Amino acid sequence: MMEVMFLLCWTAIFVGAVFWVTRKVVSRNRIYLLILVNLFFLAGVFYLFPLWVVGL
Amino acid sequence: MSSLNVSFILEITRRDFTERFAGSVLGSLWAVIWPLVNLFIYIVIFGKIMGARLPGTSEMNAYGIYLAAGLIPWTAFSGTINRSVSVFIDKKHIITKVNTSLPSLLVYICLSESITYLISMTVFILILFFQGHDFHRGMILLPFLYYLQQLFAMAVGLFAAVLNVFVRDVREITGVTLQLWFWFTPIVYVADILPGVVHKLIVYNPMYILVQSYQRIFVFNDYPPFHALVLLTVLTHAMLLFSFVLFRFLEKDIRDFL
Repeated sequence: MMEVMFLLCWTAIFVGAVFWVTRKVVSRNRIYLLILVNLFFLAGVFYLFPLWVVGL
Repeated sequence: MSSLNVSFILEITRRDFTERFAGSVLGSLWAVIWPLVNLFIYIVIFGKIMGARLPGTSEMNAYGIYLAAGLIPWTAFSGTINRSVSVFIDKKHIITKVNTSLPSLLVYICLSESITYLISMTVFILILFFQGHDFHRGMILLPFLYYLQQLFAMAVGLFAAVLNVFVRDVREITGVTLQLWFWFTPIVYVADILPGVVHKLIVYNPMYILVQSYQRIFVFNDYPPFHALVLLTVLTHAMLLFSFVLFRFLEKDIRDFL
């Protein structure tokens, strides 16, 4: 259950960040910022998931 | 550059999927029949009839599951790259008429391949469920693994698509590279049978990390290699950034060439 909660919350933060970037950032820099947000999201999943949830 | 148009992407994805089976009596049902036949071959023919065994496991159809766990993601990955390479040339008629963002054409390929992947994976999981397979908790990471895999495919695909506009041989080179890449990735064989030098080199193969993750979850009931996945995430985004910067640099020339 904790795994699901972590992944749902993390994904919700990511979706929120993507929504903010697509609404507020000018088109020219948007894609670079989206790549950065994506990097934090996926690296966060694969780094924090074993650290916080699995305890590896 | 025009912005990414979501409704345009969804529309061409829908059209691409329906056109694939246009004119056939069974229509979109073929999208379910194909994965069923493939999984039947992997699990029943290889696992049960030919009696192929996976070293270190006692399960009867472990090899079939091992094969399917590697082939389903590989099919989506190679399909995305293969179709991305020539997307700018194939969709020339759209690009020259409609003011569209060129990278969005890669997103539609990615989405189209995702539908096939989703159907195959659902059928695979259902077969395993009815066989009484013991599912590992790492299963919840599958969407994230797939997301990373497709981002990597898009990064490679965009790079190849940009080059292919100027040098048409890139399409053939990509096909040959993907064929070699497939056999350099332990999908139909286990990594342990490889000679020492190749075994040491294979850890630098990004697809090995992804395929190994799927195999660990489905076959060995284990979590994926997290440290390797973090490194792959960084590599994927660096590649994505490089491909996009190259695309931005050459965008005007690409449109002129088309």
